[in-house]
Amino acid sequence: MMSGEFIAFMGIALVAVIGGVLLLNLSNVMHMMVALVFTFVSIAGIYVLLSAEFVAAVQILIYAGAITIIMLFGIMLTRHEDTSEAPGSSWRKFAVFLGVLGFAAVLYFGIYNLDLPQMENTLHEKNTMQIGEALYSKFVIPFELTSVLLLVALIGSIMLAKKDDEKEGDKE
Amino acid sequence: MELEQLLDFKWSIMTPEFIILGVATLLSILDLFMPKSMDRKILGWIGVAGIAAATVSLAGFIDEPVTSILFDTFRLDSFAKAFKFILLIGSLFVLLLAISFEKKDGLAEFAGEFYYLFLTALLGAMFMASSGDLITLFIGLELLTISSWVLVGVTKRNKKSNESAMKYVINGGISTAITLFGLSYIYGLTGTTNIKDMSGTLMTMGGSQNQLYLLAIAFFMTLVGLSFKLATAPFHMWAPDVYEGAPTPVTAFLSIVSKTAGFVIIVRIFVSIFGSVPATGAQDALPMLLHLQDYIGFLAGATMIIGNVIALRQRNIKRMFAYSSIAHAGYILVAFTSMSYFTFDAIWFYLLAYLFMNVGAFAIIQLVGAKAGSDDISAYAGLYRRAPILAVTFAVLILSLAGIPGTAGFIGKLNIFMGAFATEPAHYVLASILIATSVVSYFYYFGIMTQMFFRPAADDSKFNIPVALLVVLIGSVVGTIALGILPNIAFDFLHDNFMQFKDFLQ
Amino acid sequence: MELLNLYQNNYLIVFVFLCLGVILPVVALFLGKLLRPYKPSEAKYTTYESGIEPFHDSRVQFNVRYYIFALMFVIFDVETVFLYPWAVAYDNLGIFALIEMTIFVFMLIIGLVYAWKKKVLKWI
Repeated sequence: MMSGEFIAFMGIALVAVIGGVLLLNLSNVMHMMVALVFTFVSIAGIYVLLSAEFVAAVQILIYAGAITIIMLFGIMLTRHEDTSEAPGSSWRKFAVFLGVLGFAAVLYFGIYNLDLPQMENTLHEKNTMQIGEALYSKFVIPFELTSVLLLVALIGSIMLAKKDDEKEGDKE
Repeated sequence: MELEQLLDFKWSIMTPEFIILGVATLLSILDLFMPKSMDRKILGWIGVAGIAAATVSLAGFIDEPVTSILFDTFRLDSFAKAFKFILLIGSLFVLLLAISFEKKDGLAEFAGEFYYLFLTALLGAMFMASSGDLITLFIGLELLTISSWVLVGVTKRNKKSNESAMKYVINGGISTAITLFGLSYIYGLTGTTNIKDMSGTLMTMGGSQNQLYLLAIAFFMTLVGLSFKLATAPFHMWAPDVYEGAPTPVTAFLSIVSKTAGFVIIVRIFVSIFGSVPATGAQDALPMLLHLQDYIGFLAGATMIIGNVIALRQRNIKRMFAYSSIAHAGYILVAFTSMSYFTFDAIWFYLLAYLFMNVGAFAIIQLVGAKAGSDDISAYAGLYRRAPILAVTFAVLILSLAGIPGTAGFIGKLNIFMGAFATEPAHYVLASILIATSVVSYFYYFGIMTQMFFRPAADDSKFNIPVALLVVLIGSVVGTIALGILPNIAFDFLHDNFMQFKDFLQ
Repeated sequence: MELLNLYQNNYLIVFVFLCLGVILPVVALFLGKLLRPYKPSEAKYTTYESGIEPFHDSRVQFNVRYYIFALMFVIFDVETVFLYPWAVAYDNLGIFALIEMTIFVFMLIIGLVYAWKKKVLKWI
């Protein structure tokens, strides 16, 4: 079955996986970030394929935009004189590789030949409106809880990241 | 949805949550506009009053039948009510500890935040307890987790606190990711996030081999992810470092409220989703939860052994209590594994007993630690000479943690032990590990007692106990002994009001 | 089904522009490389820094304030994301949606006031 959708999915998934692998293997942090952006954008592509238009836009806005920038600032804030640590033993690497392979095999066995009933969906019609209606009528409680969550995240990040400008001495 | 329709819901059942939310918001605003020189302890007392008010209002709903708002995104059933009592009482004690905690290492600047972050964490835990929908469950979990991350790292000038916050963030992030991965499979197979609908869909699905296989994957991923939260072996590695580095009230919070919330979510998800899926295609097969219970049993056994054995080697009392709390999570997992008729009662009672004995112990750890400036076990040498009443109090709590008859810990363990035999087939192996590791735990618990009663004191200075701490100590000792001698107070309360949690799945 | 195909074909345009975006700089740089003269010498490869020899790492450590700004940007960005579907679906939701959003925005205003009071919005 070589529909256009299939080809598109394969291409996007390939870019996402390559981005992830490069992220782990590159040695320059800036190059890592670029690889990460490729992964983020291709995940947005997968959302588009799944008719989740709004989520795709959010993915680009938040992840490829905001999260990337915050990570870049994190990189800029730290020093890079440290030399990288000696890589672990090859035996350990091999064990990790086997673990990853085993997990992939277990999952592949599960989704290979998986037969889920196809359901007609209308997600692509006015996607944002559908999300809005579900979020603001059915999921009101989790939505309001999210605002508390965001507030805690904001206060917590300021608490932890704020520079101590008062010296220990001039307290009290 | 029309306004009338929304107003038809019985929003009043959320009063306890509204109170906590309101008090947390109030505290944050007060803290911002209070003059800098003013003591922030008053905020702590407002928080205590808020939690007390929420507890009272929850008690007002005790006869309320199962009520749900907005498609189960919030539901008040007896399970929710029973566990919310534990969460509220636990947070009340922890907040009292926080009030008397010395504000050093950069904490003074954030004294106000320190109080209301406990409240938001509690709010998250309460929503976890009364939710019938995975989305609310998850957001509650995140609110609890993020608040505790900040609390762990709040003493910014303390290097150990920084390290523990970092470790907690990384481990917590990984565990959340794994949990979510597992849950996403269940969502994918059922097409709904409502737990009741999920179990309904799964029960009638009949299940091809492939789908059951995926469900089993989801089962294990969720179990592993939530095991991080409970700090059960082999996912306990973060606990000792985090417990050691965090400020003592936060350590108490993690070991009491956060752990209770972990058990709440694990029971909610596993019993209602995996408890209703037939493990094989046949309709009359065992539910998946029972089919796979040996794996949970294995986790429970490993947790009890690792927690108790490694605790033997600890010199730092907070690390020792971290391992002891790992071991206690193992005991509770035994109750969860056996899935007998009494499982809910046993878990609830043990968590309540653990709340009393552990919060008291942490109160003393905080007091002695602040006085001695270190958490080394040698700080307890000669405590009996210096402060006899304090030493006896600590001894009672430790005896309860060890599970000596006459204390709440003993009754809790006895319940779990009996539960392990009440099923068919009985869990002899787990029950014997429970006994054996309890005996091992005597060594380190009695090690502390030896220090207190038989070693000479390094200095003879007296302790002056702040009022808030005194309340915690009295409450915990009374609770420990009362539940130990008259456990029926708790069980009658449970049976009269919660009807064996029959409405769990309704 | 018709609409689904239409939806997917719409994104072909996006794909074309994505490709254009990647190709344009690559081609420009490559053409530049082809056209420009290439005569390297030792002196040309040294780093130029206001006429003097460079003496430390070119990357300086940023002020931590940047980081707090970035953090706040992320959080308010997430808030904006919630506003979009609310605005789109507002007509079908009625007055209750307004109340919900007021509570939501109020919570975030507390956050903004917090940042203000803690003086993280001040640059100096």
